Amino acid sequence: MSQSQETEATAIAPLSEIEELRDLIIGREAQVLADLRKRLDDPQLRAEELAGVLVETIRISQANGEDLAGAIEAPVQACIKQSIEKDTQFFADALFPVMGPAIRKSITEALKSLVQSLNATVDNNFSAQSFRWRLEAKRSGVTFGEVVLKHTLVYRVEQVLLVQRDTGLLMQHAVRPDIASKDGDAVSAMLTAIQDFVRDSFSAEGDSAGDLASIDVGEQTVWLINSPQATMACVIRGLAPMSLRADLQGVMEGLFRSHGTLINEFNGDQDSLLVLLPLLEQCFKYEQTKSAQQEGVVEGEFSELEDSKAASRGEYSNIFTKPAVYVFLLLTVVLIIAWSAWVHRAENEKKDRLLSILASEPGVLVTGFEWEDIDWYRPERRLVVRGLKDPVFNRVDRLVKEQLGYADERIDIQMHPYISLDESAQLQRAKKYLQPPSSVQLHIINGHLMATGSVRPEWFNRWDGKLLSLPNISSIDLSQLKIDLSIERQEFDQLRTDLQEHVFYFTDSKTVAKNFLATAQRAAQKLKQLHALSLVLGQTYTVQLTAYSDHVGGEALNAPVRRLRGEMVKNLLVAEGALSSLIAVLDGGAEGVERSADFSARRVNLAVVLGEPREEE
Amino acid sequence: MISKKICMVGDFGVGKSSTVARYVKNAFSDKYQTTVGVKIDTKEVSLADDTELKMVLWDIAGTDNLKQMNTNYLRGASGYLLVADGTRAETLETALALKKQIEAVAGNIPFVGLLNKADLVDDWEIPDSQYEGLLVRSWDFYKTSALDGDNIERAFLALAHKVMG
Repeated sequence: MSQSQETEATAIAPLSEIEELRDLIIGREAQVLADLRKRLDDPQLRAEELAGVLVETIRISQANGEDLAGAIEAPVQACIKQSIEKDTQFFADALFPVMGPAIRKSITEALKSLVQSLNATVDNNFSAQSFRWRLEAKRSGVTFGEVVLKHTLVYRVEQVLLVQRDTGLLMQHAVRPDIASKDGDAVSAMLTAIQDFVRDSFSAEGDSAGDLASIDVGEQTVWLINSPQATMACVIRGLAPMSLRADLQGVMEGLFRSHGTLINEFNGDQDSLLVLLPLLEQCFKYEQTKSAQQEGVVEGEFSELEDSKAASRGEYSNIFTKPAVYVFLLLTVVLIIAWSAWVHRAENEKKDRLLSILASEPGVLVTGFEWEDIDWYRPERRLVVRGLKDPVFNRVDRLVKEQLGYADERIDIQMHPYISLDESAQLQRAKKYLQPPSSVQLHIINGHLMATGSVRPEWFNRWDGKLLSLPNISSIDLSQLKIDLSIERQEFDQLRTDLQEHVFYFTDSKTVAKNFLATAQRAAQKLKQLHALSLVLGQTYTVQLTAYSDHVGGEALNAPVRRLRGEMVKNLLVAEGALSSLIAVLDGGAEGVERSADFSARRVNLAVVLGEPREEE
Repeated sequence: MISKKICMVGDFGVGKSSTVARYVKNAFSDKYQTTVGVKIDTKEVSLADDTELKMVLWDIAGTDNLKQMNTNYLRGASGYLLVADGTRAETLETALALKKQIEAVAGNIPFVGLLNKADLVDDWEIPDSQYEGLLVRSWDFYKTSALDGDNIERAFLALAHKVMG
């Protein structure tokens, strides 16, 4: 072996020894290191190991408040996007069970909101309650909104101040838009001072639970939600339930959970904590009275309150930015249109009835109609009907008023006169001309007017030979009329009866009784009336004067006497106007007791006998 | 805008409240001082670098001994105004004593001293030598008058700069 070889061997030997030595010292650790390297270099192995701890890692991270959600937000979004792009149906299937209920809930809430808004708008403006509250506001000198709040709110969180506990500096201040707040910085500092004062005054040494929790101020309460770093002062109007405190506590915890670092590092710069404002506004909870909920008043009244406050601040001038106003206007327009449509429909129905009646009315011819506005603001219109009307008919106006109930201002019938050739119009015209009694019927047959029935002679005599022509009537025939002489007959019979009661007495053979002349005059007068009636009736008759005598003097003497007496009466009657030719003198013979004087037997009786006069006996 | 808590401390009757009243518009009634022991006001100032600062002024009821004062009111203060009455020399001593006590409680926070009632020249009790002695210690002390408003604005502004410095 050469020297160089020996040297090399010597050099190798120590290396081997070093290896051995190293194996002896860190042999196990080297193995561990190799295993670790293998685990790190093998992706499959690493993935398996990571899967084993990933769930627990996420859980711990979440529990520690670390922003795990923010860290995985972007990759998760990308995954979802990619997955949807890849297979839309998969997501549709997955979302299907929740889509329906979600949509239904959304629609239900929207409708409820709309109805509540409508109710509120209507109630707000027109309800008696609203009127009362306005009156109360006027009387008490407070705003209408405050009166509404008083009556309708159980409670309402109106402002929230987040105050740094050590310094009393205001970190953020959330105020409802309708609330006028004082200087938040001063308020928060004073609140802290008061809290310190109360704590120092009433808490035992080292008593950590001695924080002021609530302050009652009239109708308002300030709830103080405390944490080691900050105090959240919630100003509440009304009486809030204790459950609200838990909600507010939850908001406070949420603030620190999401923005704890920012809050802890607050140095007086409120702008650095603007991010807290939406979270603080979550505290703006409220509850209405049951009656207000049922009537849906509060939302609307709140709106009005907000409007009035905003207006007072000069921040608000356009009410048309509110959806409720649009809904109200839309509703108003719909109601007006519906009302107008209803009115027009009713008008058209009336118009149809009117035209139908006029069309069936004889002597009326409608040539057209039109509507005219009465007043620009009224949906009712005036119906103007134009046409022709035969003057013999006068009942159109009466028909319109009685059957249709049209007010005068709603109907204007403009009719021009014309001659109708309808049979009914002709008959009406003939009736108006002839004025026949009710016992007469008129008929038109082939242009001829014929009258039937019975009439009194005077009516008949009025027209005898004096008839004028009527339009479209070629002749007027009254020949079929029966003359009604029943009255004359009755009078004739009565006169007959009356005349037979006339008796002319004689005191002796030629001397008449003292009332003889008067009786003769009355009888003659009646005889003249009787004769006139007989002419009307065509009745022939004879006036019989029957002369009687007593037995005194014997028949030879009495017969001439009776004849003389009969003639005397006849002559007297004729002298008073009776017709001689119709008077017959008859011998009635002697009456009474044989051979004795009898005044009552010396007389002449008068009788009217129907029929032709007989030869004088 | 940045908000900072500023306390006003000093003996009875040195004119703390009058000074604040001269400088700000009161938000609360003076009666708070006698009831709660402190009254809060705020004042917004614009600094030279256009920074907007809102000074939340804690006007603490006057006392000659910090033990009688609610130290909680000093907690978190960014600065304070140390007020003495120039017509009563002992109030300056009280103020300097309070300063030591405040530093013990709140640390070495910025302050500005006010020798108030400077309008009462005839009654002035603090010799110029003593006043210059204060200035020599690099303390900002101003002779102020709540009545005339002299130097009050300057004093507050000086403190504002110190607080923001």
